[in-house]
Amino acid sequence: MHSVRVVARRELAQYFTSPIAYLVAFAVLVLTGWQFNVDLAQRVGSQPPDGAAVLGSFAFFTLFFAPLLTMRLLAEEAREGTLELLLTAPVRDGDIVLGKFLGAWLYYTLILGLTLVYQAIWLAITTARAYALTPELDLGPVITAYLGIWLFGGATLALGLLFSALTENQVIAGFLTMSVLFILWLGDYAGSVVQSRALAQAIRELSLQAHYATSFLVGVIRFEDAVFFIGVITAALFVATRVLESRRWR
Amino acid sequence: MRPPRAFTRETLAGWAGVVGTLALLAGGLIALLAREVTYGVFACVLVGAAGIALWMWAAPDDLRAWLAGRPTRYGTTSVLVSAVFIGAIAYAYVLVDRANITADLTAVQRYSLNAPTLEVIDQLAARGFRVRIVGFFSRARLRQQEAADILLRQYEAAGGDAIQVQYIDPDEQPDVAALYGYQPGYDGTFMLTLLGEDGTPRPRSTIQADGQVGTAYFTLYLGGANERDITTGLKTVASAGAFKVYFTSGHGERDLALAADTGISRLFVSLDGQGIAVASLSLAEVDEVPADASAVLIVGAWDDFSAQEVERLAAYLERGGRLGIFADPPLIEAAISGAPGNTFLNADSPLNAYLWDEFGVRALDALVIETMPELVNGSEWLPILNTIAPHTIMSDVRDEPIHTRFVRPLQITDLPTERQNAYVREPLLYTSAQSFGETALSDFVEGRIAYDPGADLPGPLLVGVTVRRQLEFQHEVQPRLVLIGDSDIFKNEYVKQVPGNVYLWTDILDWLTGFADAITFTPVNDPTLLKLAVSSGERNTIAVITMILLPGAVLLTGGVVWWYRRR
Repeated sequence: MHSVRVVARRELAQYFTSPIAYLVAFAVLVLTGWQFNVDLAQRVGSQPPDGAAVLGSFAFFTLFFAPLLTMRLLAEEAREGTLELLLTAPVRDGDIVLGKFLGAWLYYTLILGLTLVYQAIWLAITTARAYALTPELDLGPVITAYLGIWLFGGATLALGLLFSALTENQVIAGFLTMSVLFILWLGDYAGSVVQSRALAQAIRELSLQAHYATSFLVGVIRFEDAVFFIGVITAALFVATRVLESRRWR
Repeated sequence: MRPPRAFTRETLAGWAGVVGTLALLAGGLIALLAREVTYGVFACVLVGAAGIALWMWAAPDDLRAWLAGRPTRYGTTSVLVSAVFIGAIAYAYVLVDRANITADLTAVQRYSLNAPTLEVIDQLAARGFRVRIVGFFSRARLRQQEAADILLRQYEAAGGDAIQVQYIDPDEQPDVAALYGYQPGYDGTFMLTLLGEDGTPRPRSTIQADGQVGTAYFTLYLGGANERDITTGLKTVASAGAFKVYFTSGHGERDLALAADTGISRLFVSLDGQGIAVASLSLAEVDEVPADASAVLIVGAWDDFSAQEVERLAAYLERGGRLGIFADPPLIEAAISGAPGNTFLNADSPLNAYLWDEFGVRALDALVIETMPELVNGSEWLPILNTIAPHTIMSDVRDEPIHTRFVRPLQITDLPTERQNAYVREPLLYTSAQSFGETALSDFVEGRIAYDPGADLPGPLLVGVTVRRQLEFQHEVQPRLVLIGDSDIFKNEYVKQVPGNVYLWTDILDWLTGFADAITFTPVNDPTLLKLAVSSGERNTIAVITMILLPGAVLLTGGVVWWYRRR
């Protein structure tokens, strides 16, 4: 585990020393901030507050910025030849993959943590006021939505890491990740496109959104949804490790 | 310059192997999607087999080397290990999916079953009822189906054998959907059906296209996937048999089984459809009104009740019974049809006298005449009911017109006796101010219609009244009475085409029996559903913080880091 920690810390440090990471955080905050204000304007006088609403948009934005966070993880190392050095170090392939993934996931978690400011605003609006009929913020859906989006992000990052392991070209890795994430996102609407109900259901089972939007986002934790995301993360990291390992015998 | 690559036998074999493998994969994929072996699948298999065979024939050494080579050995192992690992994860997912474990973290447990719902489910199971909740979801509504299933799977889990949940795609299984009463517009909604011993839906009475009473699956429309509607449906089923309505017979009452316009078979069907038992009651042949009577209804009797029958009704009301009387005016219908005269509730009737002495209400020997029939109905004896008193019963009727024919005015006592004072008399329906009550009924039969200021009754006239206990007698038994001066109001002809008459009927029945209260489920109050109030000043501050300050701080930090590292 020590080597995992070392790799993860190194990756996280790389994010913070790169302006790209700050630009990603800036873009995410601008987009979610816009979404938060639009949602707030729509709710005033007509609906109760919903702390989870902004996280629905955050999930969509994740499709765009997760590939940006992961595309360089292994592809860049392979292109620059530093991966060979890393592979000769006394570190297991699995530790490298896991460490890089955890570094990315930690950075994702920090960006996600910035959105807590929206929840603080909701709490300020709903609890720190003297109006008799001020609605209460339901914290249950907020907690489940954060848990869900965290797992959702983990799954997208693990898939991004897998594609980064498959190619030495960062752009291709990023593009493939984004394409696959889009397909997995749109899989939620398979029933409107595919003629076979069984096939549509099978596609939906693989959809990331289907395991988030109808459960975590509304305040419900379905155990199978948590297992799905953990399963995607585990499977993607396992295959990425096998891909990395294949460099030794290819 | 690189020399052109020679096209060797090995190159051909290699390409043949690749094409063959791809063709086999394509064939398998097509077969999987089409779920049958099409010509395309057959062609792919042929091409695949030919390609692989060509490879094996043209480059056997190459094939042998590939099979025994290091990449193949390691690669195959790696692929197999990955496949087994992913398979194990998928298996674990399937197991957990079947385990149906859900945690509802909403403040009011919005996606969990409330205690009243669990009680209803227990009642269902205890009474041996088995129900099936059928959801209609087409392919395009798979997402809604999954959202609905969060709640539905809890009903299924809590109900054990008592509750089944089934989803039907109305596009793929239109016949099955139709059996459960699917109609256009029901996509995304639920039905409830009661199952028999053999697990098939129980039949119920229904009105067929020809107007006759037939049978179909017992189905109850639930609407969307929310606890209120579904539990109300379950309560309706759970209360099946707990409510029983008796229709008196032996006095020329309207026929419950008659599907013609003058019959009241639609009332029977509506009661049966809600699980309310219906029976006929001849008061002359029983010692008392059965104890399981939720209400006794007298619909369109022509012969008056004997003193003995009135005593039985009085005894029933003293036990807290509920009585509904729908009385037509005397003489008129009989004179028109040539049948013996209608003597029900006439001036010296024992029942009318009992109603007056006990409750302070009675029917009058008169007929409502509408003096401005051209406004609505076009007939003097189809009065306009344009004055509807505020009453629980009339809450659903609202502005819906109510059709009547040959209506009898009623009277409420002005000076109630001490006994009558134990009751509250609430007017229900009035005729228009332009109407009057013709008391000379024989004149009317002979075609002479004229308002006689001295003898006739000026409008508006009371034609519907309810009686219940005063509030201070709430601790005692609670008899209730509904008296309406017309029975045509509930005959098939009107009920099938006038919504106001249907609402009036169902609300009267609910008021008498308490059926609606028994089946209505009230969810808990949710303080998180209040509307949000934020001033425009606060919104501006929030916008500045979230869209300028916070992203700006992050960008500034990034800039500082970049600048610092450049140095």
